[in-house]
Amino acid sequence: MRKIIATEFYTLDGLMSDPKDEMEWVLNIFNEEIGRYEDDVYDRIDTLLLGRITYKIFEGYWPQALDNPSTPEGEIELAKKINNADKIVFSKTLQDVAWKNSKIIRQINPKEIMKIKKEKGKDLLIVGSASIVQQLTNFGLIDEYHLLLHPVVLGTGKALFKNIDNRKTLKLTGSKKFSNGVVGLFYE
Amino acid sequence: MRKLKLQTQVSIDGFMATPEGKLDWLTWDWDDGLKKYVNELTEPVDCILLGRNIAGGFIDAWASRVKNTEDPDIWFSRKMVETQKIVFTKTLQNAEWENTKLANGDIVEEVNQLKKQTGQDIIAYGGANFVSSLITNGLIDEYNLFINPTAIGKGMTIFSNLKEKFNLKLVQSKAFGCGIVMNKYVPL
Repeated sequence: MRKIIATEFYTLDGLMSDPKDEMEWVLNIFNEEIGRYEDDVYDRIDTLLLGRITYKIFEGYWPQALDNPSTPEGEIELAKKINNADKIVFSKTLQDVAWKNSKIIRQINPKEIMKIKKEKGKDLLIVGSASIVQQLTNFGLIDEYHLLLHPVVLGTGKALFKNIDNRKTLKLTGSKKFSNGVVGLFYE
Repeated sequence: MRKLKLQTQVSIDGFMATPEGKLDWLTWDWDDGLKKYVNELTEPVDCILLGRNIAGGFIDAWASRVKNTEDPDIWFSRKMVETQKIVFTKTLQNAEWENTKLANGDIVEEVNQLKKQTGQDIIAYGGANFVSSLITNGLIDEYNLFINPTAIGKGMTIFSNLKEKFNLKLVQSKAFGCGIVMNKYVPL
């Protein structure tokens, strides 16, 4: 069965975005090692599961990235993978999606998600999208959590696990110390 | 000058206790590697700082545990009982516990006074409000965060009342078999 992986950049105070979604605390220390992690995880998947906000950020960046001369060389392959992947956006309000291979699902229905997991294909990846992580965590549908803990405290922002119904104990499967001070925590 | 170390257990999402102050989500079955690590962290300590809220529970728990002479970890209980403790309080007038003094003054002055004295390392364990004050006043020299493999959604944090975001420098990260990951940070 296909796995659902959640990859999340987050902070020592449990936040996955600053109030303006600017993510400069990620970009400031982003390096090749983190890039390699991303390349590896995107190699495993063929579908992205996104919330509306993350989808809009991606839609505003990745489709143009291939034609944009300022796109870093190391990002070209990633841009191809992301553009070619299927994108499923969970949103009650989004009117339509212009990006190729994208579709909207209005509501998270665990049966429907299970159906997708049973389809043929590579794994599925959630990026950011805290509300999707929380809802799928509540349904017990996430198979792997890749939590990249950044050495920063933001104070205010969106909490990664804010609306989980119950506490969730996970199994630590590995950890990785990145040279820029990020610690990758890998759970199932 | 003496070093002030912070040692605290946190959840995956960065909390040190539930909103009610409960610790029932902690991983208790520490493996030998983790015990050894914590012993090494504790060995050079000759002064423990505690906030008023947790002081009574902390001191009584170790006083009771040290009576169990069959406990294989009795060295640690003895260390907790015999080490001088300083309880930070605005309300208590008399220290009612063994090896305990009160600090009623300004937290920055009191802690800096202690750091200037000759001696070994100082360690702070909690509670959340007290540790938050130590952090916001820039008094912690080393953060030892033990990340337990459970997300609890909401709770008490050591990073409250921050006026602005701040960065730390990762110096060590170590995963233990029981599922806890220890990250050591220092101020930038």
